[in-house]
This record gives sequence, structure tokens and C-alpha cells, in this order.
Amino acid sequence: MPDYTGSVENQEVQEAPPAGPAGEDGPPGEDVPGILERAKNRIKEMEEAIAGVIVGQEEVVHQVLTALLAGGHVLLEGVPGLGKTALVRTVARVTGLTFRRIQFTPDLMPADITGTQIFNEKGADSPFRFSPGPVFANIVLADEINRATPKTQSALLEAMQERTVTSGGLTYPLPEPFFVLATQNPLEMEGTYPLPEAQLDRFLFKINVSYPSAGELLAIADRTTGAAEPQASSLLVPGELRGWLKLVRRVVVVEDVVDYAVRLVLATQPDNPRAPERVRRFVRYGSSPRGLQALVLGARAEALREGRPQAGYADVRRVAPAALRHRLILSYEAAAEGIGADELVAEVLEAVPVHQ
Amino acid sequence: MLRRKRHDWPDRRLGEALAPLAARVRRRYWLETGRLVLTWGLAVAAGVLVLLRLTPLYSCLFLAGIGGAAAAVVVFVWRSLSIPDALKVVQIADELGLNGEAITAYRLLEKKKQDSWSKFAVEKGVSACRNLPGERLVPLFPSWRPWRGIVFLTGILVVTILLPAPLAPYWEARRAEKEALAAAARQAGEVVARLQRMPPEQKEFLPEKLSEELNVLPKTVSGARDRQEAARNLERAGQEIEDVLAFLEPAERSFRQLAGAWKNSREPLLKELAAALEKGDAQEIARLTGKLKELANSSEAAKNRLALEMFQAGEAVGDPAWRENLRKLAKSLLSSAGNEEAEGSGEGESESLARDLAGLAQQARAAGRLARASAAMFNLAGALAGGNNAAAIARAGSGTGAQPTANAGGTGGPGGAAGGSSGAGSAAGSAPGTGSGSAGSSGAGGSAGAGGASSDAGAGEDTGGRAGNSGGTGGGSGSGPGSGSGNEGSGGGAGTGAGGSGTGGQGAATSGGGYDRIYAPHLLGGSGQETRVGGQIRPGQAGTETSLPDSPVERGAVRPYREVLPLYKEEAINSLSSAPLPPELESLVWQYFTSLE
Repeated sequence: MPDYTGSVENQEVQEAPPAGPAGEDGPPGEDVPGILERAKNRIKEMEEAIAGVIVGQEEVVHQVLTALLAGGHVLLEGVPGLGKTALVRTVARVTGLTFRRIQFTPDLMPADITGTQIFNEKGADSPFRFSPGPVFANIVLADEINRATPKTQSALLEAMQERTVTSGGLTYPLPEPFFVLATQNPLEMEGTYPLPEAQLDRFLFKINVSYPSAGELLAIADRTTGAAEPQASSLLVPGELRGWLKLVRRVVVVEDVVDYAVRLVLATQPDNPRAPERVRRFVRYGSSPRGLQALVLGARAEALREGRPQAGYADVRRVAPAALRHRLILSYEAAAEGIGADELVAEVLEAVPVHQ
Repeated sequence: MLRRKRHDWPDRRLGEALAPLAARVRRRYWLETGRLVLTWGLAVAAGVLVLLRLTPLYSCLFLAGIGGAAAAVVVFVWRSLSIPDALKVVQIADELGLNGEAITAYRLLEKKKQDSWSKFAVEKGVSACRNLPGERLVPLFPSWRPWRGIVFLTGILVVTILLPAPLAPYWEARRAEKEALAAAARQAGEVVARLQRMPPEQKEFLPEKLSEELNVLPKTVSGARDRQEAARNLERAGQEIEDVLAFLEPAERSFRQLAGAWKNSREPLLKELAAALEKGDAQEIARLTGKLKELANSSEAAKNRLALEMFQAGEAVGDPAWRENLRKLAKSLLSSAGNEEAEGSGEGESESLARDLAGLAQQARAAGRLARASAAMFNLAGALAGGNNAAAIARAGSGTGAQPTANAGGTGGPGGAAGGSSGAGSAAGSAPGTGSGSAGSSGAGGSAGAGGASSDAGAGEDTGGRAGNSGGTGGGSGSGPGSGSGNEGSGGGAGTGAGGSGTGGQGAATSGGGYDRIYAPHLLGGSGQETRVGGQIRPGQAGTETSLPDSPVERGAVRPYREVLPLYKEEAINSLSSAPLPPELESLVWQYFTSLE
């Protein structure tokens, strides 16, 4: 446990940024194929380990792992009972990272998340000592995040974006890596507080968790009602995930691919003349530049997962729904006509050509 | 710049790896170029052909070919400027499943990146490109569907070429009408030019205003909207000439009567004078009148003979003024024997006679010219309204007496607007106008009848340069012989009948148009009752009727003495001419008639 006492200066120790940006020279004689092959195999092992516990939901697991590799936060949306919490817990266990779960309720206060200053009568320098909240973990499960008040939800803003917590005038860095995996229930609207757009935008992906199929339900029944439930064991060595995070940023993305991602983002904006007609009609606000970052980072992570040194158009297309769906603010007309963001993102993907 | 920037291979390895694909892509590109060239060429050619076949252009096939070839060249040039370059081949390779590996290799090689990740990415990309089965993934003919458009367009082109142009009859009719208008304008121009070339002493009878109107007539005719309008213009001009002619007519008639009388005279000098009058030679007339005077002075017998000739000529002349002049001359000759005063008086009268005769001759010649011009105008108008072609119009206007033919296969409606004889009918009929003329006039006997079972229409004949006229209704064709004699040509008749499949209504076919005389023949030598009605009365229209102030002589009325006396005198002159009496007895006869007057 790090020491959270002391001066501001002491608390603002930041970790060094990851290795240089994409395209920068690596160490001479670096065995890139070997590195990529090892990463690919290890990620596959991790995926299989999660699949040993979580039945089905391959796409959800895939996207969650991609978001982790990209270093982004994930918002999981689905009806209760689909294994969202179990998935997050399993991922935390497999990755060997510290894990905290916060059950969001209307009476949850920001300090309950970030931590608070408590009186320390034995304190030599300062009478107060910062008691870190549950946000101080590598993986934080914000369960039913939309049940907390906006004030409490916003307590996560700084943590998600800056990866720091400020309390009592002091800023405390969060552990590295830091992931917020939030869940929300789309059905119950009473007593909930929809996430503000600013906070939604901070999630790299929004992943929809769907119902399992019949076969998957059979497997769930078999696994979870027996004498012993399967448990995942820690698979990664310390620092291994952090290394992957750096590798992701070294994956090559040429300007043609980035340009494609840019055109996708632009096509979600209703003011853009190249946006599809239905986007212009049903979207009030399109994706922000964070959407572009999410597309490129997600594409890089996809490439690493497959052991490729470069990201391509298909990688961008693969992550586009998860990266863009929560960034489209739809109009009332869309709600009235039952038009969803996924539908519009699919339309954008259809309308924007790979090559200009 | 039309030509966009071309990208070459940044590295030989990548070019070699994608060479098979590049060759395949270019082959397919040129095939597509050929298809586009054919498609656009055929489409433009077919479009141009279809459009041009709605116009009067006759070289539409040639123009369509030019248009199609131009479109094909444009497409070929445009495609030649866009031949797939290295970048395009790389993009196609990525589309075929390389997922950006080719473009990544291309860009990294272009930027000459040397880091280990870039090197590995290039190596991987080149390898993927080398293993790309381009020939399998890029078929030369991905689909035959686009090529079917060429077959379709070819079919349209062939059908368009083979089918007759839908508007050809219309344009042909327009062209023929233009040619007809041009021919009519040309002929009218020649007629006007002939009038303008008249000697000044004749031209003075042509009013200034009419002369100006005639000068612009060819332009008006050629610029007319259609035949009917041009015919109306010609008809109007002819009628205005006719009006002038009406003014000259008495003098001209007197001239002819006088010339006719002297031509048949037993006195050779008078025969010469008649010839000089017909020639309009003023000097010759003056010389001959001088000789007449000498002849009268030569002997009493010659004087009496000349007095008798003058008296007879005076009786032959219808114009009272001329009659009186000649009588006075005859009297002065008879009473001049041995009387010097009377001789001096006779000398003055002979000079006056010479002047008057010369003026009369000029008037007569002017009238003849105007009559010919008028007839030509009416002929042209008739030919135009009758739908004749340019050649027929040229003949009609050339004064050869050719008459316009009736409309064959007319579509009904009102008859010819002017001139000639035109019956409205659908039967294939023709109604050549018949008529005869003398002294440069052509009588126009219009006729109209029914095809097949037609009844004839009347005909007119004129010896004085007046166009005969006739009215006819009905369709089809027919002919009416023209006959008649006398000063006023006239004719009338109504053709009735129905064309075989005619749909036309009645056409009030009139020759000359405008105002036409439809009055009865002369009964007593004077003017009969004369009524003029506006020509071309169409169904539903009422014509204007104008009664001219003239003597209301009716058949069967008691004939006053003054009216029968000239006839008796004429009969007496004829008798004296056929059975010569001694001069004393002849003089007695003349004195008898003189005393009665």
C-alpha cells in the first residue's frame, strides 16, 4: 500500500510516460516478431482463461480485453444477470491486478469513492491523513453507475481522465494501470441518473452485453449450479499488462488508416456534408476527437492481439461500434422512431469508403 | 490539372510483389475503358440521332456519328489520364483482403522508415502482397451485366436509323413552303422590276405609294409566316394594281376599239396608224396624223372617206369623249372643203388628235403592263394558296399562263385563300384553271367540282387583261371551260359535289381573292349592275357588300332610244363596210345619224 501521507509534492509523483509514440525507433536488434508472437499467445491464453469462467459473451470479452490493452475505460450495458460483474471480476483475477468494486447507489458520496481526509492525532507533520477510497485499485468496477447522483458520478471524472484523485488540496496518483469498468442497467430508469455526455465520452468503449444463447444458458446452468464453481487464476506476471500497453502504442498505423478513422468520425457529425442522410436527421451531436483516439487505439490493440505490427482498416471497423455508439447524441426524433446509435454507426461504416 | 498526381512504386520489392496484380488491374481497366467508350459513344450517338431526327437537319446520321465519336474520344482521354498507378494497385490489394498491410508497407517504404517495427511491417506487407492471388480475386469480367447496355444501345441506334424520321413530312412541308415562298418572292420581284422598268410616260400612271409598296413586296412575301399570308400579300398587291387598272381601263378600251376599228379600215394610212398605236410610237403617230391631213387635203373623195372612217371609229369607241372628238374631226373634214378657216381648225384638231392618240397609246401600254403584273400577282397568290411547289409557282409567276392546280388530298377547311381555283376536298383531284387571254392577259378560269361526280364550275375569260374568276365550292376537281367575250371578262359558277373521302368543308374558291366581281354579263354595252363582295368568305363569316354607283339596267326593261341608237349605228357602219355605197349616199347615212344625235 503506498503511503498517502505527506506533502503535495510527495503525492504528485507521476510515473514516466510509456515508451515513445508510434513509429519511434525501438531498441536496436529488437525481436519484433518474437515480441508480437509472445504477446499474441499470452493474450490468447488470458482470453481462454476468462472463457473458462464466463460462458459465451466472446465478443464482450474480446472488446473488454481490447479496451484493457488500449488502456481505456469500459462501460458495460446490459440487463441484470448477464454476468457483467462476474466478467470484470474474472478479468481482474486473470490479469492479477488489484480490484475494487463500488456499488453505486443514490446515497453514495464522492468521498466514498475517492477517499477522504481523516484526523490523525499521531501525525507528526499534518494532523490529517488521506484515507484512499476504493478507486485506488488497478481495476475498479463501478457497478450500476447510473444509480449514483451526478455529483458522485463526476467524482470519477478526474480519476478516469487524469488518473489522479484530489482531496484536501492534494493530488494523489492512481495506480498504474488503472481501468474503470462500469456497468449500467438500461431498463430501470426510475431513480437513475443517466451519465452526462462528458463522462460517457471518457469511456473508451461502450459494450452492449446481450443475452446468452440456448447452448450458453445450458453451460451456465451446468457451471454455476454444481458443487464447485470454476475459478480463474492469476495468469499475468506483474508488469506484463503494462508492457502490452506500451506495445500497443508502437503498433504502426499509417496515415491512410488514420484518415479512414477520421472520415468515420466526421461522418457521425450531422453538420458534415458527407454524413449519411439519417445521421444528419437523427444525430444531434457526433463523435468528439476522443472517438478518433478510441478508434486508433482500439485498432492498434486489435493488431497486437493478432500479433501484427500494423493496424488496418478492418481493425478500425471492428472497434468502431464500441468506440462510437456512446458518443452519438441522438435527437428526440431518433428516440421517437426507435433509431439506435448502433444502427447509425453501421450506416456510417457502410457509407464511408475505405479509400477516398 | 486534369491529370492527377501519379504514384510510383517506392521500392522495387513491393512493385515486384504486386506486379501480377498490377497487370491484372490494368488489363481490367482497359477493358472497362473499352466498355465505357462504347457505351458513351453509342449513347451519345443514339441520343443525338434521336434528337436530330426531330429537326429538319438531313445529315443527322453523320452528326450522330460525329457526336458518338467525340464522346468516345473524350471518355478515352479521360480514362487514359486515370490509369491505375502504384497507389491504386496497393489500395486494391488491401481491398482484396490484406487489411492495410499493403498500404502500410507502401507508406513506410515511401517514408523510408528504418525502425524494427516498420521493417517488420514492411516485410510482412510485401510478403502478403506476394502471396495475393490477384488473378483469382480480380476477374477481367466481374459481371456481364454492364456489357448488356452496349447491346441495348446498339439496338436503339439500329432501330432509330431504320425507322423513318417521325417529323420528316412536317419538315419537308416546311422546306417546300419556304422554297415556294422564296420562288414567289423571286417571281414577284421580277414582276415588280418589270413595272419599274416602264418608260416614264407609262410609269406616271403608277401611283407613288403603290410603287413603294410593290418595291417591298418580295421581302414581305419571303418573310411571310406561311403561304396564306404570302398569298394575301400578293393578292392585295394585285388588287391595288387592279384598282389602278380600273382607272386606266376606259382609255385602254378605247384604244383597243380604235385600233381595232382602224386595223380593219380600207384606208392603208389608218392601218399604219393602228399599228403605230399598238406600238405606242408617238412620233410615228404624229407623222401618220400629218399624212392623214395631207390625204384629206388631197381630194374631196379622200376627205369624205377619211371623215367616214373617223365617224365609224367614233362610233366604235365606247368612251363618249373620244367619240365626240372623232365626230368633231369627221365633221370638220366634211365641212372643210374650200373653207380655209375650217382647214386651219382641222389642222389644230389633227395635232390634238395626234397628242391624244399618243397619250392613249401610252395609257393602253401601261394598262397592259399593269394587267400582266396583276395577273401574275394573282397567279402567284393562287399558286401559293393552292399548295404548289416552287417550280409550279415559278411557272405561275412567269406569265406563261400556267395555272395552279387544285389541292390534291387537301385536308378540308376553307378553300384557297386566294387565287386560282382551290376546292377543299380530299379527293385526289386537280382543277387546272382554264381560260384564255389576249394581249398579254391570261384569263383564269377557276373551277371546282367534285371528284368523281362533279359538276362544273363556271369559268371566266377576259380579253382585256383581267383575270376571269369563278367561285366554286366543294371538293375534288373539275374543270370549267372559259368562254366569253367583250370588254369585261367574267365568269361564275358553282361546283358542287363531294370528294371520295373528303373531309373538307366548303371552300369559297376564288381567283384573284380580295374583291371579285360576281356580277352578271353586260347586257347593253354599258356597265351592268355591279356588286363586289369580299372574297374568301369562310364558314361563319359574312362578307361585306358594296354597291357601286352605276346604271341599274335590267334585262327586259324598255330600252330607251339613246341606248339603242349606238347599236343601230354600229350595224349601219358594218353594213356600209361590207357593202360600199357611193360617197354621197354614205354621207347621207352619216348625216342621218348625226341629225338624230
